[in-house]
Amino acid sequence: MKKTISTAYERYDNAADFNSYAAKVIEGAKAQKMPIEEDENRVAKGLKGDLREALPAQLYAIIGAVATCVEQMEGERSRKDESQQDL
Amino acid sequence: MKITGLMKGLVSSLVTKKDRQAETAAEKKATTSRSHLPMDKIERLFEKHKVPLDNAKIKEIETFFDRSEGTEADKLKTLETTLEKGLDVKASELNDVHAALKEGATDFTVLLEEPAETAVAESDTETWVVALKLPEAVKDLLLEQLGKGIPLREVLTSTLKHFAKFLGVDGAKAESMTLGELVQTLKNMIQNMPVSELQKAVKAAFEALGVETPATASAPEVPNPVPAEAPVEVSPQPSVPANESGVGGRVVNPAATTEGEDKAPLEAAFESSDQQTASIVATALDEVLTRLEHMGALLEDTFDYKFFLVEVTTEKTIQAKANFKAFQEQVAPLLEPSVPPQKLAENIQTTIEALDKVILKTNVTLFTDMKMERDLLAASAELDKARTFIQKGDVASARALVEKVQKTVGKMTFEPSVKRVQAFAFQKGEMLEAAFKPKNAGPRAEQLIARQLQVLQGENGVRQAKDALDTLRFMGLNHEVEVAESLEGRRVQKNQDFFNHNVKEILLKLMKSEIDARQVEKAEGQLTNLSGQQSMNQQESGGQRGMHYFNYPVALSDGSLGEMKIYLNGARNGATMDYKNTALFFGVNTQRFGEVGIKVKTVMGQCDITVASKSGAALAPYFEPLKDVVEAAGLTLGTIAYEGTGAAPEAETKAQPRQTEGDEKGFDFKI
Repeated sequence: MKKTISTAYERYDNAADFNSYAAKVIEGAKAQKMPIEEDENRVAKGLKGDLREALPAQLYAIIGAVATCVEQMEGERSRKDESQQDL
Repeated sequence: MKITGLMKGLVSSLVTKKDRQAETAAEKKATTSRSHLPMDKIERLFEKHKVPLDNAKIKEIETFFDRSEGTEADKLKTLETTLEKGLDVKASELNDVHAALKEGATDFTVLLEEPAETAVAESDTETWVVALKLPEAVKDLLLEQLGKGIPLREVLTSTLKHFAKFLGVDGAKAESMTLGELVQTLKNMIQNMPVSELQKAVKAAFEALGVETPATASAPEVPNPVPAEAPVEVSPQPSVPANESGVGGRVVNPAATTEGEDKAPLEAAFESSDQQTASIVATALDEVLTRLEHMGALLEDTFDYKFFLVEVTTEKTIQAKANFKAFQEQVAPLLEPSVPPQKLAENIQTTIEALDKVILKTNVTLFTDMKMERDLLAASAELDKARTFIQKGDVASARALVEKVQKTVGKMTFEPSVKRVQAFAFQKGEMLEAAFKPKNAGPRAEQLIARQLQVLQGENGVRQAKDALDTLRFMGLNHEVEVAESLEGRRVQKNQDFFNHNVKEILLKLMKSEIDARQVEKAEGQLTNLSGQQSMNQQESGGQRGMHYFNYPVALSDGSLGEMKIYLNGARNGATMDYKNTALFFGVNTQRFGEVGIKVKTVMGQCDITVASKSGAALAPYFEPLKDVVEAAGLTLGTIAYEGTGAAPEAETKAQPRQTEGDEKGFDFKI
């Protein structure tokens, strides 16, 4: 079953014409004063990658766990330094 | 050795090994007139990835090599990654990817001015306006304009400046005022002006806007501010939980209404059995409000921040609970085990997608602890096994598993974590400060990101799946998709529950403000880095394999931020990566243990972990929690090895030889 990244992806997947959609998004964002790049190519590639669907929850769980491990390694040093200072 | 050495496997083994030995000889044999380009290496990269190399591409590569910084190996690595991802070989694309791959790609020192106009999340705007201590007529006008879909930033800045001018504030001065200054000035003027003069000015202001003067404007009254020491009643508050269109029902400030008015809707939202949720919110807010007591001084009597925080926190918690209930109701019939095998397989797929959605796309896991997420991941893994049983023709086993999941999911209850609710409320409080602070007082990127990392974690600093995703979203890697969704009126996913602006959009704003050339250059560099990451995170439409790449911020021991590079490749399951056949590589320069590389490789559901550092097995205690997550994700934990870089490898179980097969691209753990 094919997942979609947005209505834009559904609409433009076959035509692979993200750039025309990107141009519309740039125009709409400007009208709404929403910050957006003005380069259609850059906006188009941003539209092609919805991170909420590119990776399943399991992979984000692993990324989060590794980040936690790394920060725990660093955090222990902080706590140790603090306790040494207390002494 | 640079941390990027951990990622050097992105360059093919042809380049990293063979060519290291005979580099100069190969360069002399360049077959084109671009003698300064390592053409033989470039040709081999194109051959390896089965991409035709023509003069147009060579010209683009030449431009990239001439204009970019870094070693030849670095540039070849960029080219290899671009080819691996299937991107167009253009100088601009190569430049973006190169900026993302380089060591220390993320410049956390770039100054960011947090724009006051965007400091309020769209979903909070109505509550925000109601909490402003302005005459009801002015607030009604603001709400009316919001109801027409005009963004808050426009409504607030234009309307309040407009009224300020009609009340006698110098036009230029009004234009330069912050939101807080505007509200304070208006309030002071209203209090000090003679009533007849005030009525005249307000009438003129409304007429100039082309609207009729509301009856309440003829005798403007300033609501009595809630005393700072007033006890905060958390439940129930006079509000209506937000609906799917994004803006909640009409919010009424208790300070401006008669007691009991408009309370019924929220009371209805809180079921009688929901006292536990209300109690958790109350407990969480009690501490948050104590920590934010200085807000009283900051806001003086212009804004009822306690009312605002209670409203938005209660509303979002109720909404998360409602989302979880809706998920349970959606999947309960899908998990009916007695349907025919084909239908069961379809239902399993739909339920797995719903599980992914409830974890990643709703605010459920933002308010709950890791147990809830792990239970949901475990349910997904069980369903995946059930799907495999169906494929093997063992429908009875599949049905048994599906029935088990049906019961498990049905029994799950939404229990918000006090820590998470506190983090949410505190974040909202800090947003208020940002909105009312004088201009040019914005934090550095490092402070902004560090603050967000504090929010996106659960008990004991554990970062869950949703936290990892939202960290990347906060960096701005999903900015365009979410802008497009907003423009299409698709606000279902509540993108701004925990942050209302991302680093990318603040950088874009920064580029348009008056900053010096050096800051412009820094901001441009960061936008290029983000764009390069987005290039590598586009979803591929063809082929069976995919790759992704992130520069992920992590908190270091001295309070600064470090950059963890994450490279991920493997099989795809449709447009999504197949977590049972994926390899993740992490590279980070820690302050305590130096450079650390982590590989988490899963083949057919069996996951092997390798940690490489100078400290070898001394790091083992820190990676214990990773085992639990791997198993909760439904993977079978194989080996976990600790390689000492510079010393003999040590292994907790059985050390694995260094993998060099094609899908790892010769990823090098040697530091």
